[in-house]
Amino acid sequence: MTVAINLPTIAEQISRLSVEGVTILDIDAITTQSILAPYTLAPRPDGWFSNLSVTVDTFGTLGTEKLTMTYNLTYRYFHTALGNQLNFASYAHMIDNIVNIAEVFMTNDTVTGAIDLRLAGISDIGPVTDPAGNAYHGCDFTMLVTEYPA
Amino acid sequence: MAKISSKSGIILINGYNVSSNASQYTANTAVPPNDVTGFTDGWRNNLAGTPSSEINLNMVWNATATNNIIALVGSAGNLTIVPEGWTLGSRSLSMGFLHTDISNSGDPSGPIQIGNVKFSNYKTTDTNEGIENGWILAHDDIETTQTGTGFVDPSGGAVTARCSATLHIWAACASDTYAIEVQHSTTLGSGYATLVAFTMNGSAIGSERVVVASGTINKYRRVLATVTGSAGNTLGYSVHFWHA
Repeated sequence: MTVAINLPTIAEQISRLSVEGVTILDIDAITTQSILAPYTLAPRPDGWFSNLSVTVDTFGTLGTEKLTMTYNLTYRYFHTALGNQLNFASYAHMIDNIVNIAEVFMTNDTVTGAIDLRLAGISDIGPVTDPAGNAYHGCDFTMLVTEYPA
Repeated sequence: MAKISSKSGIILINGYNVSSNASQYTANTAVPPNDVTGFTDGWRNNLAGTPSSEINLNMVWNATATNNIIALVGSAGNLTIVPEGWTLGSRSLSMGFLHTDISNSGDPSGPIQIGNVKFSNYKTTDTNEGIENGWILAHDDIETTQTGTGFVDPSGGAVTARCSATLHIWAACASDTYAIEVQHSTTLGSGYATLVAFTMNGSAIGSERVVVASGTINKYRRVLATVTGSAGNTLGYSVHFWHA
Protein backbone atom coordinates (compact mmCIF):
# COMPACT_ATOMS: atom_id res chain seq x y z
CA MET A 1 0.00 0.00 0.00
CA THR A 2 1.22 3.47 -0.80
CA VAL A 3 -0.06 6.95 -0.13
CA ALA A 4 -1.18 8.85 -3.24
CA ILE A 5 -1.83 12.60 -3.27
CA ASN A 6 -3.77 13.90 -6.27
CA LEU A 7 -3.10 17.62 -6.01
CA PRO A 8 -1.85 18.14 -9.62
CA THR A 9 -4.75 16.03 -10.98
CA ILE A 10 -7.28 18.07 -9.03
CA ALA A 11 -5.77 21.32 -10.28
CA GLU A 12 -6.04 20.05 -13.84
CA GLN A 13 -9.63 18.94 -13.32
CA ILE A 14 -10.58 22.33 -11.91
CA SER A 15 -9.04 24.02 -14.96
CA ARG A 16 -11.32 21.88 -17.13
CA LEU A 17 -14.51 23.06 -15.44
CA SER A 18 -16.63 25.10 -17.77
CA VAL A 19 -17.67 28.55 -16.57
CA GLU A 20 -19.47 30.69 -19.09
CA GLY A 21 -17.35 33.66 -20.06
CA VAL A 22 -14.42 32.77 -17.80
CA THR A 23 -11.09 31.05 -18.53
CA ILE A 24 -9.76 28.83 -15.75
CA LEU A 25 -5.99 28.24 -15.69
CA ASP A 26 -4.11 25.12 -14.57
CA ILE A 27 -1.05 25.43 -12.33
CA ASP A 28 1.27 25.10 -15.33
CA ALA A 29 -0.44 28.05 -17.04
CA ILE A 30 0.60 30.70 -14.54
CA THR A 31 2.96 33.00 -16.41
CA THR A 32 4.76 36.25 -15.82
CA GLN A 33 3.18 37.86 -18.82
CA SER A 34 2.68 41.57 -18.51
CA ILE A 35 -1.06 41.50 -18.36
CA LEU A 36 -3.61 38.72 -18.01
CA ALA A 37 -6.50 38.38 -20.35
CA PRO A 38 -9.71 39.62 -18.78
CA TYR A 39 -12.13 37.24 -17.13
CA THR A 40 -9.43 34.82 -15.98
CA LEU A 41 -9.56 32.57 -12.93
CA ALA A 42 -6.07 31.39 -11.97
CA PRO A 43 -4.39 29.57 -9.08
CA ARG A 44 -3.24 32.22 -6.64
CA PRO A 45 0.57 32.01 -6.79
CA ASP A 46 1.00 33.03 -3.15
CA GLY A 47 -1.09 30.79 -0.95
CA TRP A 48 -2.75 28.61 -3.57
CA PHE A 49 -2.26 25.52 -1.33
CA SER A 50 -2.81 26.01 2.40
CA ASN A 51 -4.23 24.67 5.66
CA LEU A 52 -3.14 21.07 5.10
CA SER A 53 -4.58 18.65 7.64
CA VAL A 54 -4.02 14.87 7.72
CA THR A 55 -6.12 12.64 9.95
CA VAL A 56 -5.26 9.00 10.65
CA ASP A 57 -8.52 7.04 10.45
CA THR A 58 -7.51 3.44 11.16
CA PHE A 59 -4.77 1.26 12.56
CA GLY A 60 -1.80 0.40 10.36
CA THR A 61 1.57 1.74 9.23
CA LEU A 62 3.55 2.20 6.01
CA GLY A 63 0.49 3.17 4.01
CA THR A 64 -1.81 0.37 5.21
CA GLU A 65 -3.69 2.82 7.41
CA LYS A 66 -6.62 4.84 6.11
CA LEU A 67 -5.98 8.60 5.95
CA THR A 68 -8.10 11.68 5.37
CA MET A 69 -6.41 14.78 4.00
CA THR A 70 -8.02 18.19 3.72
CA TYR A 71 -6.59 21.45 2.40
CA ASN A 72 -7.57 24.72 0.84
CA LEU A 73 -6.95 25.79 -2.76
CA THR A 74 -7.32 29.47 -3.51
CA TYR A 75 -8.07 30.78 -6.98
CA ARG A 76 -7.98 34.44 -7.95
CA TYR A 77 -10.44 35.93 -10.37
CA PHE A 78 -9.05 38.69 -12.60
CA HIS A 79 -11.97 40.53 -14.20
CA THR A 80 -10.41 43.56 -15.84
CA ALA A 81 -7.24 45.51 -15.25
CA LEU A 82 -7.53 48.26 -12.69
CA GLY A 83 -7.77 51.62 -14.39
CA ASN A 84 -10.03 50.32 -17.08
CA GLN A 85 -13.48 51.65 -16.96
CA LEU A 86 -15.63 49.84 -14.42
CA ASN A 87 -19.06 51.27 -14.88
CA PHE A 88 -22.27 49.81 -13.64
CA ALA A 89 -22.58 47.64 -16.72
CA SER A 90 -19.16 45.98 -16.33
CA TYR A 91 -19.55 45.76 -12.56
CA ALA A 92 -22.72 43.77 -13.10
CA HIS A 93 -20.80 41.61 -15.58
CA MET A 94 -18.14 40.93 -12.95
CA ILE A 95 -20.77 39.93 -10.41
CA ASP A 96 -22.37 37.65 -13.00
CA ASN A 97 -19.04 35.91 -13.59
CA ILE A 98 -18.37 35.55 -9.88
CA VAL A 99 -21.79 33.98 -9.43
CA ASN A 100 -21.16 31.67 -12.39
CA ILE A 101 -17.85 30.55 -10.91
CA ALA A 102 -19.44 29.95 -7.50
CA GLU A 103 -22.27 27.94 -9.05
CA VAL A 104 -19.87 25.74 -11.01
CA PHE A 105 -17.72 25.10 -7.96
CA MET A 106 -20.75 24.29 -5.82
CA THR A 107 -22.15 21.98 -8.50
CA ASN A 108 -18.95 20.05 -9.21
CA ASP A 109 -18.30 18.70 -5.73
CA THR A 110 -16.59 15.56 -7.00
CA VAL A 111 -13.74 16.08 -9.43
CA THR A 112 -11.31 13.33 -10.39
CA GLY A 113 -8.76 12.85 -7.62
CA ALA A 114 -10.82 14.44 -4.86
CA ILE A 115 -13.40 12.88 -2.59
CA ASP A 116 -15.03 16.24 -2.03
CA LEU A 117 -14.59 19.75 -3.40
CA ARG A 118 -16.44 22.55 -1.65
CA LEU A 119 -16.57 26.29 -2.04
CA ALA A 120 -15.27 27.51 1.31
CA GLY A 121 -15.29 31.27 0.77
CA ILE A 122 -15.18 34.30 -1.51
CA SER A 123 -13.04 37.26 -0.49
CA ASP A 124 -14.12 40.87 -0.59
CA ILE A 125 -14.54 42.04 -4.16
CA GLY A 126 -12.00 44.72 -4.96
CA PRO A 127 -8.47 45.31 -6.25
CA VAL A 128 -6.34 42.17 -6.64
CA THR A 129 -2.86 41.73 -8.13
CA ASP A 130 -1.41 39.19 -10.54
CA PRO A 131 2.06 37.59 -10.18
CA ALA A 132 3.62 40.49 -12.05
CA GLY A 133 2.08 43.03 -9.68
CA ASN A 134 -0.55 44.31 -12.05
CA ALA A 135 -3.82 45.31 -10.41
CA TYR A 136 -7.25 44.08 -11.43
CA HIS A 137 -10.79 44.14 -10.27
CA GLY A 138 -11.57 40.72 -8.86
CA CYS A 139 -11.66 38.47 -5.82
CA ASP A 140 -10.37 35.17 -4.39
CA PHE A 141 -12.26 31.86 -4.30
CA THR A 142 -11.18 29.43 -1.59
CA MET A 143 -11.96 25.75 -2.05
CA LEU A 144 -11.94 23.04 0.61
CA VAL A 145 -10.61 19.78 -0.84
CA THR A 146 -10.90 16.35 0.81
CA GLU A 147 -8.77 13.43 -0.34
CA TYR A 148 -8.45 9.86 0.93
CA PRO A 149 -4.76 9.35 0.06
CA ALA A 150 -4.68 5.84 1.60
CA MET B 1 7.82 4.76 31.10
CA ALA B 2 7.55 5.69 27.47
CA LYS B 3 4.23 5.86 25.76
CA ILE B 4 3.59 3.28 23.05
CA SER B 5 1.79 4.18 19.86
CA SER B 6 -1.27 2.11 19.09
CA LYS B 7 -0.98 2.68 15.34
CA SER B 8 0.54 -0.77 14.69
CA GLY B 9 -2.31 -2.54 16.44
CA ILE B 10 -3.62 -5.74 14.87
CA ILE B 11 -7.30 -6.66 15.04
CA LEU B 12 -8.43 -10.11 13.98
CA ILE B 13 -12.05 -11.22 13.90
CA ASN B 14 -12.80 -14.83 13.01
CA GLY B 15 -9.71 -14.86 10.83
CA TYR B 16 -10.33 -11.55 9.10
CA ASN B 17 -7.61 -8.98 9.63
CA VAL B 18 -9.57 -5.75 9.87
CA SER B 19 -6.73 -3.62 11.27
CA SER B 20 -6.69 -1.17 8.38
CA ASN B 21 -10.45 -0.72 8.60
CA ALA B 22 -10.71 -0.30 12.37
CA SER B 23 -10.47 3.17 13.84
CA GLN B 24 -10.89 2.46 17.54
CA TYR B 25 -11.30 -0.35 20.03
CA THR B 26 -12.21 -0.64 23.68
CA ALA B 27 -12.01 -3.84 25.71
CA ASN B 28 -14.06 -3.90 28.87
CA THR B 29 -14.40 -6.45 31.65
CA ALA B 30 -16.91 -5.65 34.33
CA VAL B 31 -17.89 -7.21 37.62
CA PRO B 32 -21.21 -5.63 38.55
CA PRO B 33 -21.93 -5.32 42.27
CA ASN B 34 -24.96 -7.13 43.65
CA ASP B 35 -26.58 -5.12 46.41
CA VAL B 36 -27.18 -7.27 49.51
CA THR B 37 -27.56 -4.40 51.97
CA GLY B 38 -29.62 -5.29 55.05
CA PHE B 39 -31.73 -2.88 57.08
CA THR B 40 -29.25 -2.90 59.97
CA ASP B 41 -26.01 -2.80 57.92
CA GLY B 42 -25.55 0.95 58.19
CA TRP B 43 -23.58 1.02 54.96
CA ARG B 44 -24.22 -0.19 51.42
CA ASN B 45 -23.21 -3.83 51.20
CA ASN B 46 -22.35 -5.51 47.89
CA LEU B 47 -21.18 -8.88 46.65
CA ALA B 48 -19.28 -9.24 43.41
CA GLY B 49 -21.56 -10.25 40.56
CA THR B 50 -20.90 -12.39 37.52
CA PRO B 51 -18.12 -11.00 35.31
CA SER B 52 -18.87 -10.07 31.74
CA SER B 53 -16.67 -8.80 28.94
CA GLU B 54 -17.21 -6.91 25.77
CA ILE B 55 -15.03 -5.44 23.07
CA ASN B 56 -16.25 -2.49 21.03
CA LEU B 57 -14.86 -1.56 17.63
CA ASN B 58 -15.40 1.37 15.35
CA MET B 59 -14.62 0.70 11.71
CA VAL B 60 -14.82 2.45 8.40
CA TRP B 61 -17.02 0.84 5.79
CA ASN B 62 -15.22 -1.28 3.22
CA ALA B 63 -17.50 -3.40 1.12
CA THR B 64 -14.77 -5.98 0.57
CA ALA B 65 -13.21 -6.18 4.00
CA THR B 66 -16.05 -5.51 6.39
CA ASN B 67 -18.98 -7.32 4.79
CA ASN B 68 -17.71 -10.42 6.55
CA ILE B 69 -17.89 -8.59 9.86
CA ILE B 70 -21.39 -7.30 9.18
CA ALA B 71 -22.38 -10.92 8.57
CA LEU B 72 -21.40 -11.71 12.16
CA VAL B 73 -24.46 -10.01 13.65
CA GLY B 74 -25.85 -12.27 16.32
CA SER B 75 -23.19 -14.93 15.85
CA ALA B 76 -20.26 -16.26 17.87
CA GLY B 77 -16.54 -16.34 17.14
CA ASN B 78 -13.12 -15.15 18.25
CA LEU B 79 -11.67 -11.65 18.38
CA THR B 80 -8.00 -10.98 19.05
CA ILE B 81 -6.31 -7.60 19.45
CA VAL B 82 -2.54 -7.13 19.47
CA PRO B 83 -2.26 -3.56 20.78
CA GLU B 84 1.45 -3.01 20.10
CA GLY B 85 1.64 -4.86 16.79
CA TRP B 86 3.55 -8.01 16.00
CA THR B 87 6.63 -8.98 17.97
CA LEU B 88 7.01 -12.40 19.55
CA GLY B 89 5.40 -12.40 22.97
CA SER B 90 3.76 -9.01 22.58
CA ARG B 91 0.64 -8.69 24.71
CA SER B 92 -2.60 -9.73 23.07
CA LEU B 93 -6.21 -9.46 24.15
CA SER B 94 -8.47 -12.21 22.95
CA MET B 95 -12.05 -13.07 23.58
CA GLY B 96 -14.40 -15.75 22.42
CA PHE B 97 -17.50 -13.72 21.71
CA LEU B 98 -21.02 -15.03 21.87
CA HIS B 99 -22.90 -12.23 20.20
CA THR B 100 -22.28 -9.28 17.90
CA ASP B 101 -24.22 -6.06 17.60
CA ILE B 102 -23.56 -3.61 14.79
CA SER B 103 -24.79 -0.08 14.12
CA ASN B 104 -23.93 1.49 10.78
CA SER B 105 -23.78 5.22 10.31
CA GLY B 106 -22.99 7.82 7.68
CA ASP B 107 -22.33 11.53 7.50
CA PRO B 108 -21.85 13.54 4.27
CA SER B 109 -18.69 15.12 5.66
CA GLY B 110 -16.90 11.85 6.33
CA PRO B 111 -16.49 8.18 5.44
CA ILE B 112 -19.22 5.62 6.03
CA GLN B 113 -18.77 4.10 9.47
CA ILE B 114 -19.54 0.75 10.97
CA GLY B 115 -19.70 2.26 14.39
CA ASN B 116 -19.89 0.59 17.75
CA VAL B 117 -19.55 -3.03 16.75
CA LYS B 118 -20.08 -4.73 20.08
CA PHE B 119 -18.74 -8.21 20.75
CA SER B 120 -20.13 -9.61 23.97
CA ASN B 121 -19.09 -12.44 26.26
CA TYR B 122 -21.55 -13.05 29.04
CA LYS B 123 -22.01 -16.77 29.54
CA THR B 124 -20.47 -18.58 32.50
CA THR B 125 -18.89 -21.86 31.53
CA ASP B 126 -15.73 -23.68 32.55
CA THR B 127 -14.03 -22.65 29.34
CA ASN B 128 -15.22 -19.07 29.18
CA GLU B 129 -12.53 -16.66 30.34
CA GLY B 130 -13.85 -13.36 29.05
CA ILE B 131 -11.00 -11.22 27.72
CA GLU B 132 -7.79 -13.26 27.91
CA ASN B 133 -4.75 -11.07 28.57
CA GLY B 134 -2.17 -13.25 26.83
CA TRP B 135 0.65 -13.17 24.30
CA ILE B 136 0.93 -13.34 20.53
CA LEU B 137 3.13 -16.27 19.47
CA ALA B 138 2.77 -16.05 15.69
CA HIS B 139 1.62 -13.52 13.10
CA ASP B 140 3.07 -14.24 9.71
CA ASP B 141 2.46 -15.34 6.14
CA ILE B 142 4.43 -18.44 5.22
CA GLU B 143 4.82 -20.79 2.29
CA THR B 144 6.42 -23.75 4.04
CA THR B 145 6.85 -25.28 7.48
CA GLN B 146 7.59 -22.67 10.14
CA THR B 147 9.09 -23.43 13.53
CA GLY B 148 8.61 -20.50 15.85
CA THR B 149 11.08 -19.20 18.41
CA GLY B 150 10.43 -20.13 22.00
CA PHE B 151 8.83 -17.43 24.12
CA VAL B 152 9.61 -17.58 27.81
CA ASP B 153 6.79 -17.21 30.30
CA PRO B 154 6.94 -13.72 31.88
CA SER B 155 7.14 -15.40 35.29
CA GLY B 156 10.48 -16.86 34.22
CA GLY B 157 9.45 -20.44 34.85
CA ALA B 158 6.85 -23.12 34.30
CA VAL B 159 3.32 -22.66 35.55
CA THR B 160 0.53 -25.01 36.48
CA ALA B 161 -2.67 -23.56 35.11
CA ARG B 162 -5.36 -24.00 32.50
CA CYS B 163 -4.57 -22.38 29.19
CA SER B 164 -6.04 -21.64 25.81
CA ALA B 165 -4.81 -20.74 22.36
CA THR B 166 -6.64 -18.99 19.55
CA LEU B 167 -5.73 -19.46 15.90
CA HIS B 168 -6.74 -17.04 13.15
CA ILE B 169 -6.30 -18.03 9.51
CA TRP B 170 -6.44 -14.78 7.52
CA ALA B 171 -4.91 -16.04 4.27
CA ALA B 172 -5.99 -19.55 3.29
CA CYS B 173 -4.13 -22.05 1.11
CA ALA B 174 -5.54 -23.29 -2.17
CA SER B 175 -4.13 -26.82 -1.94
CA ASP B 176 -1.44 -27.10 0.75
CA THR B 177 -2.56 -27.82 4.29
CA TYR B 178 -0.94 -27.10 7.62
CA ALA B 179 -0.92 -28.80 11.02
CA ILE B 180 -0.64 -25.95 13.52
CA GLU B 181 0.10 -26.42 17.21
CA VAL B 182 1.44 -24.63 20.26
CA GLN B 183 4.33 -26.48 21.84
CA HIS B 184 6.12 -26.13 25.17
CA SER B 185 9.50 -27.12 26.52
CA THR B 186 11.73 -26.77 29.53
CA THR B 187 14.62 -25.56 27.35
CA LEU B 188 14.66 -22.94 24.63
CA GLY B 189 16.25 -24.87 21.81
CA SER B 190 14.85 -28.40 22.05
CA GLY B 191 12.50 -30.84 23.68
CA TYR B 192 9.25 -29.27 22.55
CA ALA B 193 6.02 -31.25 22.96
CA THR B 194 2.49 -30.48 21.85
CA LEU B 195 0.49 -28.35 24.26
CA VAL B 196 -2.39 -27.23 22.03
CA ALA B 197 -3.28 -28.72 18.66
CA PHE B 198 -5.66 -26.99 16.29
CA THR B 199 -7.97 -28.78 13.89
CA MET B 200 -8.10 -25.96 11.34
CA ASN B 201 -5.62 -26.80 8.60
CA GLY B 202 -5.23 -23.53 6.72
CA SER B 203 -7.60 -24.38 3.89
CA ALA B 204 -10.17 -21.75 4.88
CA ILE B 205 -10.30 -18.37 6.57
CA GLY B 206 -11.55 -18.66 10.13
CA SER B 207 -10.60 -18.95 13.75
CA GLU B 208 -10.42 -21.64 16.39
CA ARG B 209 -10.00 -21.48 20.15
CA VAL B 210 -8.77 -24.53 22.06
CA VAL B 211 -8.87 -24.73 25.83
CA VAL B 212 -6.62 -27.09 27.82
CA ALA B 213 -7.45 -28.15 31.37
CA SER B 214 -5.09 -27.14 34.14
CA GLY B 215 -1.70 -28.82 34.00
CA THR B 216 1.99 -28.07 33.73
CA ILE B 217 2.90 -25.51 31.09
CA ASN B 218 6.63 -25.53 30.58
CA LYS B 219 8.68 -22.36 30.57
CA TYR B 220 9.06 -21.96 26.78
CA ARG B 221 6.23 -21.90 24.23
CA ARG B 222 6.39 -21.75 20.46
CA VAL B 223 4.22 -22.34 17.41
CA LEU B 224 4.92 -25.07 14.88
CA ALA B 225 3.13 -24.96 11.52
CA THR B 226 3.91 -28.05 9.46
CA VAL B 227 3.02 -28.03 5.79
CA THR B 228 1.64 -30.91 3.78
CA GLY B 229 1.90 -30.36 0.05
CA SER B 230 4.36 -28.57 -2.18
CA ALA B 231 2.29 -25.97 -4.00
CA GLY B 232 3.91 -23.16 -2.03
CA ASN B 233 0.55 -21.57 -1.19
CA THR B 234 0.70 -18.65 1.22
CA LEU B 235 -0.73 -19.26 4.67
CA GLY B 236 -1.46 -16.14 6.74
CA TYR B 237 -2.03 -16.97 10.38
CA SER B 238 -1.84 -15.66 13.92
CA VAL B 239 -1.76 -17.48 17.24
CA HIS B 240 -2.67 -16.02 20.61
CA PHE B 241 -1.80 -17.92 23.80
CA TRP B 242 -3.04 -17.40 27.34
CA HIS B 243 -2.86 -19.13 30.68
CA ALA B 244 -4.69 -18.41 33.91
